[in-house]
Amino acid sequence: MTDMARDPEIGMDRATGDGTRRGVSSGLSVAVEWVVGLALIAIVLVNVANAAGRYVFGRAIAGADELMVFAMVFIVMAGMVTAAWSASHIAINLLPSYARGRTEQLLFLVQDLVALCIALFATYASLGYVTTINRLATKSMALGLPMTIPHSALLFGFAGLSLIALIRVGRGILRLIAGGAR
Amino acid sequence: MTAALALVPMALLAIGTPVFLALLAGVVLALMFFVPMQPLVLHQTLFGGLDNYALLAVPFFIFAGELLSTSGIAARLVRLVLALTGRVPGSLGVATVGASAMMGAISGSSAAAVAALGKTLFPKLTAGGYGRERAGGLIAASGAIDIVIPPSIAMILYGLAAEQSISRLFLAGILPGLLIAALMSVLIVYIAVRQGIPRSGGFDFREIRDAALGAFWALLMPVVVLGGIYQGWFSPTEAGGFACFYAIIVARFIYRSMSFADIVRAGANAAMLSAQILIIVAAAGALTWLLTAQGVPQALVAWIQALEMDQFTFLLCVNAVLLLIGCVLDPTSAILVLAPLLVPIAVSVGVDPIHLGVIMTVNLAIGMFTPPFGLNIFVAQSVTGLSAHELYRGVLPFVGVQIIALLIITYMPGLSLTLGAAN
Amino acid sequence: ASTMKLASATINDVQHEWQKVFARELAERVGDEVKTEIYPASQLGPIPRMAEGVLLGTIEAFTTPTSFMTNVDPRFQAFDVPGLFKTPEDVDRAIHDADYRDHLETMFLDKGLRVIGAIYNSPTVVFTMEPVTSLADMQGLKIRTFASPMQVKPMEQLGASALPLALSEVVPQLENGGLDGLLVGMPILTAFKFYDIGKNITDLRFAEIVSVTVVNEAWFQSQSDEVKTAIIEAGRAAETEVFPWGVENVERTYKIWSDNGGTINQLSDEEQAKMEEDFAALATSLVDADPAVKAEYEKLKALVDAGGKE
Ligand code: NA
Ligand code: NA
Repeated sequence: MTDMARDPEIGMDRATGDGTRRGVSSGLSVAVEWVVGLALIAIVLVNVANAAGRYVFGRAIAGADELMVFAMVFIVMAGMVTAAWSASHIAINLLPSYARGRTEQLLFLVQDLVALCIALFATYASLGYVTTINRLATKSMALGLPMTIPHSALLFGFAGLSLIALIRVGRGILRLIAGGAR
Repeated sequence: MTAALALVPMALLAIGTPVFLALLAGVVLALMFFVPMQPLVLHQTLFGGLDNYALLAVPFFIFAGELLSTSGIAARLVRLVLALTGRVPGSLGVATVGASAMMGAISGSSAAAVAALGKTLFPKLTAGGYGRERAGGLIAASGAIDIVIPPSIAMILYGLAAEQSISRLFLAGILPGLLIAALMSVLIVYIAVRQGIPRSGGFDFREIRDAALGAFWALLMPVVVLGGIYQGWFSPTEAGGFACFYAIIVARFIYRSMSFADIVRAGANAAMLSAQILIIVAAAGALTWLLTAQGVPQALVAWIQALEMDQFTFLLCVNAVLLLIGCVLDPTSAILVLAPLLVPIAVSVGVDPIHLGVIMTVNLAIGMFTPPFGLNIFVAQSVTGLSAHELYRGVLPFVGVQIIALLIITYMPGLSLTLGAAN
Repeated sequence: ASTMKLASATINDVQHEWQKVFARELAERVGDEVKTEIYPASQLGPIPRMAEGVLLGTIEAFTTPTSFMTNVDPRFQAFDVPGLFKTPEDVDRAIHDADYRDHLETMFLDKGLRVIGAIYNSPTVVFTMEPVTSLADMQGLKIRTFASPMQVKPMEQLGASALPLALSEVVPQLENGGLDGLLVGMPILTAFKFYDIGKNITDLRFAEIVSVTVVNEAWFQSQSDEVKTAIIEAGRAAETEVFPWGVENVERTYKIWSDNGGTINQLSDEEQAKMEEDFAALATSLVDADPAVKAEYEKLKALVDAGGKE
């Protein structure tokens, strides 16, 4: 079903259709995909072990819930960044399917600018949050894990998103200057 | 304020901005210009939206669907249903619906069913005399059955947002899911008879036997997944993880149809799609928090209660609004934003929250394939190669029949509550 | 004028009542200088997020059982030590002792939190699907607890398995037999109509829940001196007013439980005494783990014991 996410009709590689994905960045996203794929399989196994332990031995793995959820938060952030890089996020994308040429590129630029502003704001907010929670040294209920760790997933995620949005904005401007030639 | 929270996100959606960014744009604008709150709120509410155990159902069920599709388990189910429906007029079409209902009892996401069935059945349907548009439309629309029949991500999310028992919601979805499947089948038989589409085959006992044997492990899966929930082996959320585990064991060690690398790749695909859905969930959570802290839902509830709507009108309004929203917005986020707001009103006019959950799920299911935006349509596009416009035409008759089903489900609460009642 | 959002996870209980009385008392003192907004029933998010919200100042005040604040500061555990409080009067004597109350108000300032309200909430009871009338009945039961040693260890000592499940999983698991019971405050059972799921509770009388209202200290300091004084006074006035309300509310919930066909089981006197003895030993070993918790526990214990001798 993620064929869907790779379908050009819903936005993949709109602005990066020039093949940037091949090469270094492609190696990086393949690495990310392997890490998140293995992480999801690990979560599945913890889930099964936890339920089996509870049902069969009346004993849950301490903090298994927290471990799975925090891992999921990291997966979501990793996915958010990679999907932003490949422009494959879920979107309605009504106008762009009719817009062509410079209009289309202008719309992409607007989208990337919006993404940049939001990502920078979110990075700023996360930095403040993570700094404060780190100072307060709160721990998670079951694992006793410093809450700085799961919260920092968002900081990394939005910092990564900012970087990608910045690159895309820069590239979008260069394209427009070049006269919309693809 | 209204512009920041409603118009700006809508304008951004229209120009193709990712859904989660459009939602976040509303939150960020409000925090910057209208609401005297610290930016920290954004982080807190996003993290709060994700830090939720029940949400693990999303990656679990999507992974399970991916595994069913790539391992060939889905294809074995299709073969069995085809063997069973051979003598019915429009048998291939009915088989598509039947296979979707069977997949529904294993999988919690409709995009997974559309992908799996599309690959196997689209070539057969077109070869069998169904037009390409009709075949594509049928596949996109059949996926809806999958999220009404339990297990269902939509119901887990509703249960979460509305604080309702997910087990009860699951039970409540069984009859409505079967009703949708039955009405879809009736429509297909009617179309087949009118257009003189031939039957796909006769009654062949040996084929049925072989197909059933071939599908044994696939047929056992809903027994294990749903049975496990009601036996108390695992919770509805954990059931998704068990479905993955089961599919991995069957695919790797029994059918030997997937290598370890294939399984990791399927995991990666599922994780990536889940991430895209969950970031929308988180952004919707942030927006809901902001609205709540501004007293918007409370005011809305008071306003609607002042209208003194009766149950009939209230439910009609709910359906109209959800169908409209389902056309344009990703309905998953719609459920998360609207369920906490609608439940108190529903209760005040005497609608059972479990019944409302089924109604919202069916609306969501329809929204998945109504033009212009719907995950099922996108998935169907990629597996059938049809254009969006061809699919829009193809799904129309099925939108009609499912709206009829929706009205029956809405105004016959017994259909949902006979199995889903409190005791 | 400033806004004061008061959040809690429950509704129509003593926490909600305290917030309503507090809002009224505050308005009487400062008028609309401070606009109070009450958000019950987790409207502002799940408990861990509300706790973080008040720490970071995105929510001004949060009313909660102390057990949900132990990850912010372990000293909150002192109130939950098994065997410390056995009656509402024990709680009243300890937390409303004038000196202790002053100490309580400022003891979490290093975490940026000020306690403006401390109230008796309710007893912790064991809800079970099957009746539990003896210690032997507890053997092998799967009981949902918080992920806190103050709940996990007592259940393990009784031979049950303590399972810190997510709250959303509790009802389905009870219905499907994946769980045999849970440790819970009495009003939660009636608020969520647990009598539709099972009929039995056992009153082990080993813990009473204390709820506190904490405010974000940075926000508090940003108020005028007049408002600061008014908040402190309104908080204390509210806790005095709602204490009897809280005690009656617990009695009401017991009645609702019985009226809906629920049973309230007790251990025999001998077994109750034996359990309390074992819990006393357990309490010592639990508080020994953290000197700060131990110091707090000993203060509370002294106040409870002093009252008992009168
Ligand atoms: Na399903
Ligand atoms: Na739609």
